[in-house]
Amino acid sequence: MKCSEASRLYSESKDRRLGLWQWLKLRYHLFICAACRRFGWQIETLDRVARTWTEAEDDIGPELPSHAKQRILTVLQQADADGDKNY
Amino acid sequence: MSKQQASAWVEEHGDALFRYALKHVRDRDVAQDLVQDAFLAAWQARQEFAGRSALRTWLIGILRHKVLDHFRRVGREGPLNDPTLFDIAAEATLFDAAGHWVAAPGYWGGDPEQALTDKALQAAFEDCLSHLPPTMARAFVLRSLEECDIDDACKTLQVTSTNLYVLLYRARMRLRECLEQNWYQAKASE
Repeated sequence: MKCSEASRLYSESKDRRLGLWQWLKLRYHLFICAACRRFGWQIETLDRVARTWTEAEDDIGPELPSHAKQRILTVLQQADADGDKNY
Repeated sequence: MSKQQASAWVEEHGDALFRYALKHVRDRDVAQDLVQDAFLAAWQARQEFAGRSALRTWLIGILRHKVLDHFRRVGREGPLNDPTLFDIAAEATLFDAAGHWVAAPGYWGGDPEQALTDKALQAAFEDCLSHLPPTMARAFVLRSLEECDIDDACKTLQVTSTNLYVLLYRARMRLRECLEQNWYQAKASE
């Protein structure tokens, strides 16, 4: 198995179950190839940083601009007014 | 009373919803529109909410639906028109003729769990994600951030599973390379 194929299969293994034969070939390649082992560690790290970043508290960071907040309030008011018209 | 309640909702949760939207779409205007749509939908359904769960959780859930709707809309306009996106051979420059790495991946440290606490890594990741082509970014966001299953992700992005695997592979390869250059090598030269 070439590293190019191993990298693709490793990525796919994150999303689907590989067939047994593919899985065995991949595991054997990882056993003998240090570069691809490091690649695997990197993909696992990427996986975790993505998850951590997503789950990070949304209490710090960019703020919704005040004009956007105003517009939302206007829209909500309008929705209530439109709702009232239906009675 | 209603006006005060609406104001309180927006003040307390507007920023957090905005940040959530920005994690999924890179455009601030699109993020603002999605937050507005979510607030409107939530407001119109506020009788049904009745304190069932935390308000923030409920609002985020509604926003998530709006984000996925947006991805579906954009998906109809996007990938099918750009066949080069699914060209797995585009990553072939990373490997030599024998299929070996041209530049072997570095050793980032033995423990992927470091990702949980390394702020520089998280900041670098955010930056790297913002540089991915939009369709690749959406595929990665759906799969790794939202943990959508493959079938749902395919329907949202309007691609086959084969093409989705290629998108995810290309996204991971680029993110990996970007992190190697902008985080790992920066760290190594300190």
